[in-house]
Amino acid sequence: MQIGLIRQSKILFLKEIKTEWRNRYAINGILVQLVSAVFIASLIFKGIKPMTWNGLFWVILLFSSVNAIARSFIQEREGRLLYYHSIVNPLAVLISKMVFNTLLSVVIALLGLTIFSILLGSPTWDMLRYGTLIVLFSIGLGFLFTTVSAIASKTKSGGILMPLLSFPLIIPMIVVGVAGGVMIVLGDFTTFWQNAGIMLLIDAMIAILAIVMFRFLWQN
Amino acid sequence: MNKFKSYWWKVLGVLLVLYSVYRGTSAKVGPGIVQVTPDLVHANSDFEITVEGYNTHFDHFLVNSAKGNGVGAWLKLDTILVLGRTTILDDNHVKIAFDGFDLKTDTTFTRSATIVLEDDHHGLFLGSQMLRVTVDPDSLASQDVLTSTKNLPYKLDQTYFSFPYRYILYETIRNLNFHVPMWFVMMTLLFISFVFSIRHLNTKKALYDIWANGFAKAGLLFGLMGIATGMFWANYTWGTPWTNDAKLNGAAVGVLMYIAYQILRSSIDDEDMVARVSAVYNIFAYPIFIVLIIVLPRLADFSLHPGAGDSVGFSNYDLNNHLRTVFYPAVLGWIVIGVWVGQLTTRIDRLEKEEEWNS
Amino acid sequence: MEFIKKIVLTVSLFLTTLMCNAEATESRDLFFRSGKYNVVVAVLVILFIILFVYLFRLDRKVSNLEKDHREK
Repeated sequence: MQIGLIRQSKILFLKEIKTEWRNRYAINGILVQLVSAVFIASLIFKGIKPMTWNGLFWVILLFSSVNAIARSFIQEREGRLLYYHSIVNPLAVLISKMVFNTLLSVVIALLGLTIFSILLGSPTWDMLRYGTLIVLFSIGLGFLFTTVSAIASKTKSGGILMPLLSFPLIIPMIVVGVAGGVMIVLGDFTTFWQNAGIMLLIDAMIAILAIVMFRFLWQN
Repeated sequence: MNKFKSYWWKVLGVLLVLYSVYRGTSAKVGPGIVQVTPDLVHANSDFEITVEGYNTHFDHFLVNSAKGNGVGAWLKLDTILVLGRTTILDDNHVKIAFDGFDLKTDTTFTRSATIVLEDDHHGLFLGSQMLRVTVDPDSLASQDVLTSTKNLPYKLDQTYFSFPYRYILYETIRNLNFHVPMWFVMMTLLFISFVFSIRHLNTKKALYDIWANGFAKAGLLFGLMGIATGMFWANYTWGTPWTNDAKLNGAAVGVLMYIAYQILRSSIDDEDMVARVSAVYNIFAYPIFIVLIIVLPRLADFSLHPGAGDSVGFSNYDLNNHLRTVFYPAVLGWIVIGVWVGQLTTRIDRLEKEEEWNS
Repeated sequence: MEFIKKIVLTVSLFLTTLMCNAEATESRDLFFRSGKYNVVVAVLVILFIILFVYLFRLDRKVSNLEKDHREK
């Protein structure tokens, strides 16, 4: 059973997608939550200013993603994790889940951006740069929340602890994202590469930390 | 005497903190300029301004002799220095009269000028951004309005130990010695906790986990102390206990992270698991915390704290280095006290654990 | 112990309310007088109060340990 790490990750990743596809209600639930959050926002805010648009979007994005990704480790049954433990490289489990969750959060972000633009008035600023920033943020969010979900799954009350453990850690990225978003909204691109670079650095740091630390979480 | 060897550093910490508290509360705050009236003058004709000072003790120099009264005053506009004549009104007020002057310019401009005051006792002190000067165009005038060189300010050193005066801070500049060290202590203690977490994962020794937890608790304590004192100080200088300031947010997020760390520890039953999982969380949290406090201030274009954005740094207002001679011992002393608190916490936690294991 | 805790909590809450009410007049005067020197005093007091509260908590832990030790 000595197949490479990448092969293992790929198999597990495909399995993730298959499971999600079978229980579509989970994904649908997240989408409904996202749409209703944006809808409520559109009911409350009329004639919204670009700055508020930006701020509101980040808040809704954050809260929608938490619920989507929190499930990854917490919802796995103890038995299944034990089974994985005996047959595959632990890193493969982490990598497959990280890739899947990152994909999920990027999809949520882009979908959220679209719905937001439709319901709250379409923005007039540079969407390519704005989108890039959001995708970079979602990648980091996917990495971080997957790892924190692995940590939270070790506790008695996993789901409740998830936001508590992850929100303080996500704040640096939120700050960079909102500040970068404001600059793009104002039409000032001078700091764009700096912000994108910081975001990318944080993404890389979280990925490395997760990969290094995961084996300590995994062993029983 | 042998016993002393093990706790000499604690004595050192206590002495340093006592020194900083004594010096920080008893030393004087130097002179400064609070207000200039009127705040807009026209330079081409003679003009008079009244300067309100703080801690200036002008009454000292009230002998208005023929030579003047010992208080020198200048107006500094870009590179030009104009000498004024002073009349002392009371302890904190002085009236300065300037002769009108012409400048070689093409258009009328209004610019901010600096008031320079000087006397034998206090040395030199400045008031910038308090007076604006309008100058009419005059193509014939020469730039050089400097009076003879013997009238330049020369007494740069103060004759006594004093903290610098800062606008709206007044006496509370002293708090720099009590509030700011908390931040340094928090960073140090959390770093020690971080190192012990790494050592725990490497060696699997339960003892290292107890150390990591003890120092995380102490770091949290000093973080809360910093935030509490900061909020109080801010309330009486900036008028609000909480501003959207980069340093403040950094400290608050750090505190949140380590509160989450404590809750994480209490929500796991198995003891080995507590140690392992919380060590992993700690190793995650600390680098992100560091990124946060490096990144946040750079993104803010304005901060009320020194050393960030366009606010002036430490070196800009501590001209005579007096503040540093109290501030650095305070930081060092509080760090030692912090390490002591962390160590005490750890030792007690360890005894508790041992008691549990034995029973 | 619970009783003492309750009393301390009540008194401190009461004091906070008082301070909030008084803030507009008396306490603002108190802290703005003499170049805001009293702010410095208050900051030092806050610092040491928090430190002492922590010390009391440590003390309680040590007392518990002593009790356990004697019972053995």
